[in-house]
Amino acid sequence: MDRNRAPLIQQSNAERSGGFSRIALGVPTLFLAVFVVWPLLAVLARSLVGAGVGDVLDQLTSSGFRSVLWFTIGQALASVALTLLVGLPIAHVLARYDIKGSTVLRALVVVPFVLPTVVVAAAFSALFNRVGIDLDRSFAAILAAHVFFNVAVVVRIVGGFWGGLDRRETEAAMVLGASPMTAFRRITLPRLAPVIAGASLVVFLFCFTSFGVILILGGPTRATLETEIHRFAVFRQEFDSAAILALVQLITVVALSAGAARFQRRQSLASRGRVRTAKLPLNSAARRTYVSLVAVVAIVVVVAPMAALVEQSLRVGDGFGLSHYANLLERGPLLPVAPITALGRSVMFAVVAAAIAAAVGLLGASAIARGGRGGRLLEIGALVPLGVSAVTLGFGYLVGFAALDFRSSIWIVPIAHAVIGLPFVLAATVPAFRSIDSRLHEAAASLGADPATIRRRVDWPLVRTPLLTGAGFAAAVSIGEFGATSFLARGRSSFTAPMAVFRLLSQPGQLLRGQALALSVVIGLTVALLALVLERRRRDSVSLL
Amino acid sequence: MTLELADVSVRFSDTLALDSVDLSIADGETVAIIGPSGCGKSTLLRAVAGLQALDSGSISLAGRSLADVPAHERGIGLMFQDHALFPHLDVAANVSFGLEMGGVAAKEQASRVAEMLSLVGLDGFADRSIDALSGGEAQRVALARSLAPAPSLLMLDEPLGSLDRVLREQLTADLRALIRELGTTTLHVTHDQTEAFALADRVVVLRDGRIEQAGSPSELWHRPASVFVAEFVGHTNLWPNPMGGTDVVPLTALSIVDSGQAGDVEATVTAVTFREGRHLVESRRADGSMASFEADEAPPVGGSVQLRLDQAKVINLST
Repeated sequence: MDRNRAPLIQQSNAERSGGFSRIALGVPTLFLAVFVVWPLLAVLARSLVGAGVGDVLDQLTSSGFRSVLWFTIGQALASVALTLLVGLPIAHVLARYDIKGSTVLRALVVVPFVLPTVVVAAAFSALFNRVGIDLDRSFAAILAAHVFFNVAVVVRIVGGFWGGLDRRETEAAMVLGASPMTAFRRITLPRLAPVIAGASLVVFLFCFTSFGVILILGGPTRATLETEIHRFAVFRQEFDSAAILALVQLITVVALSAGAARFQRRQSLASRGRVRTAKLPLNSAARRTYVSLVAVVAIVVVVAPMAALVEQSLRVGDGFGLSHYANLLERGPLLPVAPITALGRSVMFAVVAAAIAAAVGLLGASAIARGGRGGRLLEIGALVPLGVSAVTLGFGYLVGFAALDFRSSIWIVPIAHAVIGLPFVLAATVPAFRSIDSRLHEAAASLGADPATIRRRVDWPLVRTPLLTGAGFAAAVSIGEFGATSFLARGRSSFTAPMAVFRLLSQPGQLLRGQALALSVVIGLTVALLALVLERRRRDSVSLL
Repeated sequence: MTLELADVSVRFSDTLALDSVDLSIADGETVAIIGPSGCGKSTLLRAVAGLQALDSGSISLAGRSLADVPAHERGIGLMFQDHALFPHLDVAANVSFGLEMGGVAAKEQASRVAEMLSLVGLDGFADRSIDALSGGEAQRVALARSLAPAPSLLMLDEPLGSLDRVLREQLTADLRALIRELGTTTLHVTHDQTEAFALADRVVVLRDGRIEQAGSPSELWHRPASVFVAEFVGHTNLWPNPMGGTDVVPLTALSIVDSGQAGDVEATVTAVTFREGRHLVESRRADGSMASFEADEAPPVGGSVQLRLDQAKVINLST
């Protein structure tokens, strides 16, 4: 018996490192090579070869470029500062105080993060209209929307770490003679600093590459690198100039992402062995005032734009009604298809994109978890879409697949969405694969299971739920995706709901606006519900960030 | 310095963590508080340290009420369970933290840190990072940190809780020597009666926030105030007394009689464990109560034994 079993196991090991793992490594690698690496190389080539080094230098030293760059950086820095100002107290309250409804507050604060950019832009447009201040198309509007979006990032990254900090470290400092302020300055703050820096970097990255918000709320005079790439490539068809901007964008973003990844790693080191400690009771007037104030600010910041969006979408003339929603069934003169058709298209694209991302991600995750040089390379490669902005990616497809008629294919949008969603699938499934104890495989093999059976009976049940969660997030991202789509959607067949919102909002007229707001509500609800369902299934192992 | 707790109560929502506790600790005395988890012993330490507000009662140190003294002005050393070392500071910075807060000059800090590290047997560890320490080393750094500012009262919360048995025994001995040498008043919390008996002059048994009994280790063993205390300090033979109450029968009160002779007690052997040169025999009497004793020869498991009972050693607890 033993004599028979030993060769069987050896054979199964040999087989496992053979056929299947070659596919598991090969397919995702090819996918990334064709749909990520090639388009980026095409942008690179276009910017250097197409334009010529002289032109590149000319453009980079022009005053127009400089003002765009400074505005891009300036608005991102201002957004980071404001986001920290609003987000840190919320993170503190949620992490440290024992308050009723903290789960609701936490969920509420995170909602904006999953909302599509066009929906957020529409919400702020509605809010300004409702409150009656003319902030539409202003710097303040951009900042407000960015804060709304990114408070979730600060609350999640910093708050999560803060809550996990052992309070006894602070108590130990106090027992050793440190006043509460000194203990905060000497113990808590140094522990938080790298995490705050990491969160700031992530927020900066999001704001630096922000596209929909700036395009809709900033207006034509407020240009960032992203909107300029879009303007040059889509409206003026000046690919060379767009490519140079994309190159600058790419270099900056990759450098920042690498920095963010390092902070994340340090953070995960710092959070090792963390303990849940008792939260502080609200047993003094000062504490109650502070916590209430922060909670009210959080609710206003998050709820006001969403409430305004819903209210304004229902406003018809001087009263309320559902006519804007009814109009979603009609194709106006401005759109190639009725909004409801665009929405159907978005949902279909989301399903296809999620399926592609899930298939590629499942294979890729198993290859990454197995390790080896190929696996490590794939792991790095799979992070690239996270670091590259959707706009750069969409532009890369324009340039890279120009020769093929691929761009007019209905597949191009869902494939781009799949690329953008892939990191979410991997973030969910790679840890799941890694957490499978190799002794389970050995035990199954010793019980007579062949490699295919082991994958089906041991691996699959353990990775199924994380895979579904990751694919669900990929679908949520796809439904709201605007940056890449705005480069790739051509004609009626690939016109998505976020495109419709953008088109409707960019034209004056109450009726169009109402329609845009109603469609935004529907998109927002779809995505929020999807995220809510996924959040409930999430087992803390899956992180959006 | 003398520590005095008078009628101290702490309430957590609907449970009383501490229920009218009165306790007095003399200058230089080492007192251990033992009890099962959740009995309120950690809460008691936190209350004394000023990390937990009282619902009623008062605490005073050296005759001075601590009511309005915040934690950072009490000058009490507290060594936390699992140590709570500052992970972003190295060993020296951890140990000198309390000195720095007390405004000790930098040069003095350095020499005091070296002295403390030497005291706990960690010479040369000053520049180590906290991550690089083993469990035993972290425990010693935590001790050095709480001792460095020369606190008037040292409190230890399960100081050896997370260590393995061999290390515990070694560190218990080290700790006892250190406390005796420094003469610091010490309040020590543990769930392990062996550790408490090894370290303390006086042991307080806490149950559901109330003091069940306080006394020397020998008093608790020989005159437990209740079945709870008897079981907690390690008695296993608790027999119902036909005249009422419970008889606590120490291991040493029972001995096996030569085969063929009649004893005072008959029991069936359920397990035999070889321990430190003798056999610990667990057996049960007809009514199911436990009769454990030590024997040179191991009786067969499942067989019946005749035991002699030394009535003088039996402790009767009339309930």
